[in-house]
Amino acid sequence: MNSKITISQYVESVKNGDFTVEEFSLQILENINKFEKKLHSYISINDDIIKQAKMIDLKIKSQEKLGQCMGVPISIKDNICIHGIKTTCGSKLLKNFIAPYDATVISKLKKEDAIFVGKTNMDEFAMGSTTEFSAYGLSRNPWNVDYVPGGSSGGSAVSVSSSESLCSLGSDTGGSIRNPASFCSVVGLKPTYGLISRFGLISYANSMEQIGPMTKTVKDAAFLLNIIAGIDSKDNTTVYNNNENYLSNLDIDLKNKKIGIISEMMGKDADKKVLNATYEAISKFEELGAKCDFISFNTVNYALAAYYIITSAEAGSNLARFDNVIYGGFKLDANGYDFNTYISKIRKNFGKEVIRRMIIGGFIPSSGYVGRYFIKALKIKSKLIMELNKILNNFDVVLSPTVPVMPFKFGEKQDSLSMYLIDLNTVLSNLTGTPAISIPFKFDNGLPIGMQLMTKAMQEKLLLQFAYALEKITNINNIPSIN
Amino acid sequence: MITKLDIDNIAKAMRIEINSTDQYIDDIQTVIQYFTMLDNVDVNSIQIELPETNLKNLRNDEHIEYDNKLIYAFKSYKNFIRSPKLI
Amino acid sequence: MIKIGLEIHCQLTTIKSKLFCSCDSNHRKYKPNLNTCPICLGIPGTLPLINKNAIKKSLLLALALNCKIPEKTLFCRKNYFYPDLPKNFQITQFNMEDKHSSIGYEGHVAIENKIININRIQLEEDPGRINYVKISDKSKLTLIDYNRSGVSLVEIVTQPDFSNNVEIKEFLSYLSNLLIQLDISDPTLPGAMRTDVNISIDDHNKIELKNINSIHDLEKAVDFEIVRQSNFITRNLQIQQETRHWDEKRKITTLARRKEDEQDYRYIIEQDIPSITISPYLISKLKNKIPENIKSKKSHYMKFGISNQVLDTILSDLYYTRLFESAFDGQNAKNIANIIATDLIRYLNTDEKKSKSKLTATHLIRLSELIDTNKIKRDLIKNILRQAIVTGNSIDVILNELKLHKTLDEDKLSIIIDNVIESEHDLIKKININPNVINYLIGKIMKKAGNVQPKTIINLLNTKIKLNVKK
Repeated sequence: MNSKITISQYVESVKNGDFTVEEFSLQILENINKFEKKLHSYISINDDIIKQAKMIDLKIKSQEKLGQCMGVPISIKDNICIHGIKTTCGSKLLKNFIAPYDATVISKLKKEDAIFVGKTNMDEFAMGSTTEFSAYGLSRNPWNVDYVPGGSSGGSAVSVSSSESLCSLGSDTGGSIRNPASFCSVVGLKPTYGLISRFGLISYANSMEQIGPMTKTVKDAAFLLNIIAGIDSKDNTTVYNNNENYLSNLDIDLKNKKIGIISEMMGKDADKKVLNATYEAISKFEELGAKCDFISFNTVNYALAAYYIITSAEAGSNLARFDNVIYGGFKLDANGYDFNTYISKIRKNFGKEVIRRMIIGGFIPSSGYVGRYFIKALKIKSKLIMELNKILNNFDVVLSPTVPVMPFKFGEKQDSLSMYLIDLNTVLSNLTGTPAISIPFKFDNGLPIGMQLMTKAMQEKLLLQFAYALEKITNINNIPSIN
Repeated sequence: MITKLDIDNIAKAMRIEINSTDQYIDDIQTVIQYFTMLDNVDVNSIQIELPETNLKNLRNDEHIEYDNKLIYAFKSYKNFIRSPKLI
Repeated sequence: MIKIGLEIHCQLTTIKSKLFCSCDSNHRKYKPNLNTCPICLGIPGTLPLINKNAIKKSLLLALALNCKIPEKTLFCRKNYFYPDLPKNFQITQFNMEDKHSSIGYEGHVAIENKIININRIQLEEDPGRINYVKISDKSKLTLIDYNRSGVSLVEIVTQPDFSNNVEIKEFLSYLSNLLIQLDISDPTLPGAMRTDVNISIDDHNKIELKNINSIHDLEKAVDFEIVRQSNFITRNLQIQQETRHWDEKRKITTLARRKEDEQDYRYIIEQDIPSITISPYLISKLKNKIPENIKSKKSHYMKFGISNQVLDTILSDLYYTRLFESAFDGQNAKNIANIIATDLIRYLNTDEKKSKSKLTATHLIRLSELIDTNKIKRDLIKNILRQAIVTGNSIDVILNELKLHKTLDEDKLSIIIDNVIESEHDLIKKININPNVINYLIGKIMKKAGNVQPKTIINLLNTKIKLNVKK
């Protein structure tokens, strides 16, 4: 049996009785046994996978009504709550936090009979682009284990790429789905802000982040999106999506469709290999009959600064609750400490990157600076939304490299700013609340390069259609041989 | 420019004990310096736009008791949450 | 010149659920932490789900206080670390630079001799309660109960337009009436209404007073603070801008923190709650709900000869107001008001008693009729009310019972019995032999005493006979 198949192939095979859910789950567990020591996709693994697989097999046997996932083994980023299961956010502060409820996306997947393989590794509280900042050790890139897998949903990307799961849910605040998708050569979709309920997603920067699918193919991403999208009474920021079917009608003709390329996202700091790959992608789209044009979008130059200002300020507030008073990872007795000393000692256990952002996040909204940085960043955000909308009135989608640099080795990027610059092309869709997808495009010296497509809010369908077309024409092998 | 003393004070305000400011100062200064590029943008005419909703989309006023009494899952003292002392 | 401003926090006690979750808004009736859920305990991954009724009720108040209403309302986070807020921030409203955030602003209220301007009205969450429990001589525990965490609070901020306690009292009584009449809050519930004060004299620095728990203490605190500040000024000392706490036991204000120690709350916009558009339609609908303002209501009732004090007593309590209004027919206004404010108030002085009481407006209407036709004496009213509260029987039934069992004074009965015993001395000796003797005696006593319950006679007679026999 081939464990390196897509969701649609899996569902078809289970329906046809080619293999049982249990057999496939065993295969996934075997892959985990083989690769996990090297790759470290997971922070924790579900002990009951086989039990749950057997139950679904029983349902199939007795012809009970079955959800459309039919036991698809899915991995979940460890900042999404599953009832009764540890949810650590890659942090020591939550090492003993057992979620007392299911996130909305989890309830929806449970209803469709998905099986949760485990909770995937991530940069602590999703702050990072390499998964090096996890308190539980780093994850490795399956294409070359000396290289970072990207982040912060690095564990999710690695688990999908290495077939330690069939698909995954990540979260994306400034590229955290698309960046590791690009580095590991999987598909990663950051949906429109409000399309997916954030109930049960532990907040880092709540005005920007969305849960999204990470899969082997565009079709698989559409499959998962169908399940997890939609308005939720547990999240006031969700919006109605008309019960869109994202899977249907993916294959369209791109003739005379318009694609914009923002010059500022193809700047002088970008890697030549990445730029060349992007030019190739442009030609591919032109082969398909689309019209590609370069455009200038000057405000994009300020996007990264605005992004880090807003996210740091929100993170400072969102992470304030982690003080070990009601729940937490530490058995530190409250005796003998006053509240402030106690929680400061507890919070000392945040990782260095989190502490850095908390200090920046404490500084930004402080009186005297709030106008200069925070309010200004919010205004730039509004300006970006306005101007991007204008651009998207003239173009169907915007194309760019997902990440302006090639995957790099561990420890290669040392200072914060050069690390932050990796997010240059991904933050725009978070700031504007628009959907964006990263699609595997090519390899250079065995390292993946992904392409990013963006479009107007709530136009996921259109985005998936363009992504599907590119995927079909490139037709690359994205199964790594792990050494 | 943000100083060592500033960082000490902010860390205190954010309730994070840090051993030495030295390991943070360079990075944080560089990042804050990067932010100052915003000083060059004129956004005076821009209004902050936020996602909007209508009253009818909001939660109805109903009392629904939460059935899993969470307090028993936490380290409680006679049903109370114990906090370190407040001065 | 003395300038005093108020910041009044008032719980929306009339709504069913908390501001951001479906836990009970009436947090007072639960064991510690049993009125909580993941949202009000700040469990990671949960999001605030705003209560539409809280928005409506606070808008109603804003309109009643003649405020301007923003087209959209949004929320902010006030960030500070304190264990009564499980998230270590409070969701509230705050104008950030040019971004307006309130339920209403620039309102005003006319009291006796002046206009009090309302700065703003905002909606926010109440924190949990902190308890200190002594476990030994040396140590006490800090224990938190989050049952109150997330209950809706409206904050009313006035301009410093007050200059003395009389005005403050008048305003607060007006506000209480308003909250009750519009069914927004019952400020008589413990902790439902809390007031902070700021006071300055002439151009000197402003002092904020916190931790004041009753209107009574508020007056004392204001008086104390005015004297304290005046002393500083006459001695040419600088008044520091600071926050002071009212010390309830010692009846003085003490320094809480100086201005330079004020926390920076690092406000940010609460993006988990979208900006809420307030339609002109909703505003006009709410405006129609405001019947006539409380002032005209009070003056309306005053026309019926009810005293100011009696009306204040009734209108500051929702239960009494409703009782009064359902019994009211114009002619009986004064009687009804007096019965409530002088008699009923003694028996129904707690919420529990009010809710258990079987007394209705019908009782009061009949009582008033009886008073008008002089068929009832004032001293009987208390007795009748007590019966009506317990039994719910009609006034006429109660009256009949009372007449029937109308007892002579025990003293008088005692004398009658003594006389009978005296005159029937020989018969009494046979009392243990012949059971008819006792009946004969009772009959004789009843003839003289009238309608007295036989049981009362038997009891008294028996004791007296025993004594007599011993003699």
